[in-house]
Amino acid sequence: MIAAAAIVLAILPFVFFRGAELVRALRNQFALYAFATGVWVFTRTVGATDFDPYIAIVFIAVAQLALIALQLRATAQPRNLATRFAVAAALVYTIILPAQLRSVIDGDEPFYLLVTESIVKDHDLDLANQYRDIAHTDTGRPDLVPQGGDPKGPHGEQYSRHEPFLPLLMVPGYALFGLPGALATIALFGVLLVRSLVRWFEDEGISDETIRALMPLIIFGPPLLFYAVRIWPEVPAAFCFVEALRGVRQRRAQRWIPALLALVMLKLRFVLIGVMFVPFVVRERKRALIALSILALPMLVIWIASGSATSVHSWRELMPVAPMPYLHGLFGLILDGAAGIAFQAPLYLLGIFALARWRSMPEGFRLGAIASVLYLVTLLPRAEWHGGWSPPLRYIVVFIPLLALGAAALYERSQAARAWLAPIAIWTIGLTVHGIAEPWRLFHIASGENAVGEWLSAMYQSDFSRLFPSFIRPNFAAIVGAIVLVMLLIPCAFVRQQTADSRQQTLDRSLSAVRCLLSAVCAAALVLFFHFGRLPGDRIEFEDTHVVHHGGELYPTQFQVARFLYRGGWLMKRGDSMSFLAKRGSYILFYTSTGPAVIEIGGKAVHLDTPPMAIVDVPATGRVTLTCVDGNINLDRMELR
Amino acid sequence: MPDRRELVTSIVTAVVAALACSVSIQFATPIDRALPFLAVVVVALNAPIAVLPLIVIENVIVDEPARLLAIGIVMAIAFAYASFERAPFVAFLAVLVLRWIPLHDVVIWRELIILAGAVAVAYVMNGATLAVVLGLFSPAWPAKVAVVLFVVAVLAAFRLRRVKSSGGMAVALLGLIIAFFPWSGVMARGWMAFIHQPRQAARIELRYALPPGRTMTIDVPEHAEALIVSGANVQRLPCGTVLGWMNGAPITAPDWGFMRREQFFASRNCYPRNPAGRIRGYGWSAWIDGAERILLPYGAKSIRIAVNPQLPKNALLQIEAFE
Repeated sequence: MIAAAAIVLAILPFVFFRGAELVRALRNQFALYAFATGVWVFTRTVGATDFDPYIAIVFIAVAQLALIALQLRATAQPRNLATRFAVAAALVYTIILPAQLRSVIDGDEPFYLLVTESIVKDHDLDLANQYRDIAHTDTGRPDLVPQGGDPKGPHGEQYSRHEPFLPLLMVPGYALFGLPGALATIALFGVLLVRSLVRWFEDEGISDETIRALMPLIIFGPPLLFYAVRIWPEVPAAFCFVEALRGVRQRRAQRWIPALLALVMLKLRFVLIGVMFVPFVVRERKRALIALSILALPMLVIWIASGSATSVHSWRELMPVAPMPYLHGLFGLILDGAAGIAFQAPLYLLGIFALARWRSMPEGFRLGAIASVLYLVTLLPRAEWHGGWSPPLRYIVVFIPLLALGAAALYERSQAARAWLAPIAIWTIGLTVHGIAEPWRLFHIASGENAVGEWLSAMYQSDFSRLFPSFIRPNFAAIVGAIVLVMLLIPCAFVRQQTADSRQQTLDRSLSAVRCLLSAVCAAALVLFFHFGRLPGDRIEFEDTHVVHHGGELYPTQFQVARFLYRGGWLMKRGDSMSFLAKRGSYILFYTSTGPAVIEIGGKAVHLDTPPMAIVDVPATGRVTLTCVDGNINLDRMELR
Repeated sequence: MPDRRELVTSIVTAVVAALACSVSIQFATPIDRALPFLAVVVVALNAPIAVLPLIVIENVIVDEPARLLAIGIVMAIAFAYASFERAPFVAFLAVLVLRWIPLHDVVIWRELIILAGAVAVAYVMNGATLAVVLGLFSPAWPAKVAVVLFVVAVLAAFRLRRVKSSGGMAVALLGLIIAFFPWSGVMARGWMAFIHQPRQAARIELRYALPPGRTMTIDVPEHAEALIVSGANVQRLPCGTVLGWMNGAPITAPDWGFMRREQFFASRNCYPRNPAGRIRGYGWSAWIDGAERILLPYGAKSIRIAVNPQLPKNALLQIEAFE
């Protein structure tokens, strides 16, 4: 696999460069290999052996992509960018695909594959026989059982809740090559998306320079990279969404009709996007009829397949609810440490800021933003706005092209956006290396923590997770994050728009200065982050990584369906204990128990007999041990009064 | 040239970066303590973003060699990024990073000669790599050698100007040198260690120092395979000088400290054939002790050591350990 990756990466410069630039690219590549080999050989001499060789190899591969991206940014050579980037995406996705198969497919993926298998082998959608003989399916998941609420037929048929269109698309690939073939089908849609995206950028007036600067981050970075090599309908949907937008903008019915049809067939929720397209495409009765037929078709198919036009959903989900869940979902999708754009795909944060400059954005961006409103309004108040058991940003991957266009437009207009590119690129490289090297960690339980927070918490045994905004389990950082975001968006919206010439002059003059200051601010923020991370917080969540558990167990269990709907906790019985950092003071302890229990905290026994809360004292700031002296208890959290 | 606004911003950034790194220091090695200086260097290289990984590395990597190497790699990337322009300035900073850490070991006037020489070579060559290589390998003791070396180098550089030193391989070489700056002394004086690396196994310490003419019999512990030896006060003896005999077989070993920066240039010793030393010190003061591994005769229960009576009076054969 390493040799294949090396060959593919060696081919990549030929895709973009010719002549002297190609020689330079190959020389850079050779230099990187020479440097890496030198470091590799010499590390043993200096005794630096405490690293994972696989991660190092992945890092070198990603560094090679970064080198090509840097050269692309600096040169004006490549033309016909759409095809070149599509070929590059095809090459890179080809080598990422086997890397992702280091772990078994997860989330909804095995269910989609099971439907595909059923279509290919039994020519039906009934999965009952597949579940009966699950060990011999290609899912690699002998533990797979039907999802709760999956439709059942009158004669014991077992159907999947997932729409059958994606499995249908994967049939040829699966029939030829099994699971890799199915994955390759999705990767093919990823490649089509890349080509379509570049074309769309060009249609919307984005310059080649900007496309060359941003496109490597878009196609080789999260979330597109990871969704393009996994069985989720998101990447095919993103391709259809872009094609539909291009079709509507170009007034080409032969483009938007099939794109919209495929989009709504992929997933019922995408009908909400289709609905918003209707006012833009209906100019005569015939078109209106076509549009309505397209929107009705998926419901008809689902009704035939499962007996219900809305499958496991209900019309009630479309009804407005109280405003708070909307704010939770909205800020969560943008800022959440585990599931938000800012931490999982920071490039697209620029797309959010682009919304604040609505009037100066390309028309395609505005059309796309309007088309996404109904879908987002329905998504935001859902308890599962973060995507559940899936790689991050699942529900908004379909809008990633839209955010990418916004980011590109902002990049052309704002020096601050350009200055942000370096830290964004560094973070994106980290996410990419992490996701390729350890694909199973793309799935993170929605517990209020994230991978970085958990890692640092485990290392320092201190609560670093609280410093990341969490809207899954709302914390103080989430409030601060939301206020900062709003404060940044407001001036962004009212900044004076410049003419193209004066804009370029300003960009050239002060970009370096802005970059410097930004680095200084980020450095100061990092120092504060590590300083406060080591101090105890005001709230201790007992299930978190920073708490050192001696006995007891997590409740609900880690893989409880929709675990985020429960208040998590740690079950303790007599003799179990845990320790954690805490400030001196009086705390409210939140717990549940079926009978009286006694705990000892800070050397003092506390009788707990009136759930759900009790007052406990921590005598001194530092590491505190909490022991269950008697009874059984489920400890939720402890908050400073 | 940067305008005044850029200059002020860079200075402010350098100060903030240095303060941030100073607050972040977690470990006591000279490399960790030099983080504020490294922060200023990366800002000067116009790669201020590299300050962020420096802070993160200092806070998250506990294993010392891995941490220092990670710091070195970040610095290497910053230098590689900057090496295509302002060659004399890059050479100046590179020599500072390679030779001025730890600062308390720097003999300023000697190092200033080397610094000036490296900048001159970089200026003439319009490329930093050769200057940095010269800066790395130039001896500070005796200073006149450094002066002569750089005069010759500057003259040669006029002839070598046509050789492009900003290509990919030159940058890779520069990066590789900088990546190992936490052990720059070893690179300069014990570069053989990077090719023929010393290794250590479990040891039973002996710590005998035998004068010329002395003999000694030592019981060999079970499972011992080799004897670790080195010389003391023998740095002026030529390579391959027999220091003594073990059961009649000659023992050759270099001086234990011949790779120290003060002794290296005057020494006539060679890197051990079967090296068993370990890296000591950091930065330009890093060196490897000259311990040599001598394989024991197969099945020997005891060994008889005889020290060469022809050695200088103050010379010693050090029997360090069984391995």
